[in-house]
Amino acid sequence: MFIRLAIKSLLDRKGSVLVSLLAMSVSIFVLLGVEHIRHQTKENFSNTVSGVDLIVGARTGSVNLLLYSVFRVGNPTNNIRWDTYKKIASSRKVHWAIPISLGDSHKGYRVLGTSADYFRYFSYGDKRLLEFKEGRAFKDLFDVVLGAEVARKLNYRMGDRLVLAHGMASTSFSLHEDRPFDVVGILSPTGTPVDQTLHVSLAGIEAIHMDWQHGVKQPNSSTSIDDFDGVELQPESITAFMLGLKEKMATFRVQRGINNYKGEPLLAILPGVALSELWQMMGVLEKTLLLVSVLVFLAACLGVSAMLLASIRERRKEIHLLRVIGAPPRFLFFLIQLEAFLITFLGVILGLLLLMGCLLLSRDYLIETFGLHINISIFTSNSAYMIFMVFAASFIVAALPSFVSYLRASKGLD
Amino acid sequence: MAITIQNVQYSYPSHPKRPVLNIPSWSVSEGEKTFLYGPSGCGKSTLLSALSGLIKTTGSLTVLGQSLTEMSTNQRDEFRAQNIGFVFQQFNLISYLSAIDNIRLAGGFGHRDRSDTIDQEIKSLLANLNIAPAEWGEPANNLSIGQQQRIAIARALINKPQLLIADEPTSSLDHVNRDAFMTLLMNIVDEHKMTLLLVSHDMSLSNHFNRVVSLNEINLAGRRS
Repeated sequence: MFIRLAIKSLLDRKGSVLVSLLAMSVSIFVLLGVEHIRHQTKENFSNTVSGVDLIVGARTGSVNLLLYSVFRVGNPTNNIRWDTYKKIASSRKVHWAIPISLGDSHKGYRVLGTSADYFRYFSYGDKRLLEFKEGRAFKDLFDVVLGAEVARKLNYRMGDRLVLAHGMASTSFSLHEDRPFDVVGILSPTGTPVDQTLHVSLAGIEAIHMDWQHGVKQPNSSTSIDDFDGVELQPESITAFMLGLKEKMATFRVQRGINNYKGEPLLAILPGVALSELWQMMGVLEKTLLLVSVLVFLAACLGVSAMLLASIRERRKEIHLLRVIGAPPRFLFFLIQLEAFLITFLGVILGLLLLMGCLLLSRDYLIETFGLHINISIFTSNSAYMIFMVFAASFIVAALPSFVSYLRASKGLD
Repeated sequence: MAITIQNVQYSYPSHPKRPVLNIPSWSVSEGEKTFLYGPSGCGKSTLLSALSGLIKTTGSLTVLGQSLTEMSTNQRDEFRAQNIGFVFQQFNLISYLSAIDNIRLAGGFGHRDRSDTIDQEIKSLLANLNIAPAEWGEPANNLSIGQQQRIAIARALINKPQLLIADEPTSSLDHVNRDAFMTLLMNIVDEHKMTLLLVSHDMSLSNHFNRVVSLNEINLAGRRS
């Protein structure tokens, strides 16, 4: 009867309750949304690369190197000479090396020129190696291996032929039309930028840039596809490379050696350390966002509190009647608290549904624009803790109207 | 005695030096039907609040043999729920609850909701008070004032009280309904052998009662106002 009374009382005040409920839902949506995206972004970034001891690129900021080499965000400042790569990769301390060459694209997705070792050694998440959903690694000059998302969104299948574009624009006019690539493999989804990447061999990258200078195809170029038969193409430079060392203990020594390399200015970074730097930079923004969402939630809580406080005035005769038929002051206290709880409970449900709906709708956009794989399942220990805090906060703010009601009843003022 | 008052005084917290009630001595016998009248502001509602234990007075106030002045707030609330029935002029019922829920709620405060037969008792009370079954589940604000008054009587009776307090119960009713209501009320009081204390300014009701009291005669504070 107690719960029914609270529900019917709320239904009797549909208008004001609905407005409070909407404010509560939106605030919970913002609060949990910010927290979920923050958490997922961190997890996404942390899962993107594992088992890589060092990332080496032209001298720049460590975060910038990490962003363009691993997350395909931003652009490299300079390239590294191929012979520098070969020299470092052949060091006896190095177990494996994966060259990375960036700069081309296909319909907005980045093309990564690399070696076959990429599919043998590159790992993500909890040291999981890349797996092929279909096909195999590239072998021939114009073979391409697609990330799962590229294949899904562009509806590519094995054997399809595609043309790469020079540069990163989603609609490029500088196409390598005369040298199309054949899809020979499609990777299984990883939830990392790998899914949005097309993988080709370094020789393939070299081949499509044959007869190109400064990003423009030379008008009188004469090289045809047949001319590449039996020719071993070697790049002059690459964007960066990843290293796996034989001994982890040697990491700092190798890093120091690369950073002091005389041949050209290089930067070697530890991915974990660079990631920490990135989080430090993002920390202020994260905290600001969290603070704003907490303030939005508090405003909604105060709105509910004000609505309940006003309702005590409106319901003076009803409260008096309850007192007359024997309702003790604590009954009124808990009635107001229960009403606040029900508004919060419904607010949490609506907020969660709203968040899940928005995540579902914006999923593709987040993947395409930011490479972020946001999990729609928002039920984590973190969100459970936040929901608990939401209920605790609602209890505290509802305490004022509840206590006013209790006090008035105790003093016989109702 | 159903009610015994000795040197009862009460002032509202906002005006501590201006007592609303100052009754040296007054009593109501068990089974007595008392008509209490007086002008507006003479303290009628405050006296009813004191008798029901909603406010705590000084002096000695005994209802049905229990000293309200010695009880805690919770004890007074429980005592009121179990022993005193109320009927008012208006706002007798919680408007958004049905007749059945209004009565069940009062039964809950009197711990009658644990009874297996409470639903049957509610239906029986409503039927005896001529409330059509179709209206039992209707929200109270969809019912007429007369129907609401009868449901209020049913609610007042659910905990089988020994004392029934009625505060201007006929003010909102026309002559025909007023007479019907009074006849019904008196029959119920006789049938359940309850003590009735009815407060009204309508002196025409006084002929239903075996005792008529002016509040100004017993309340010294009211006399001054």
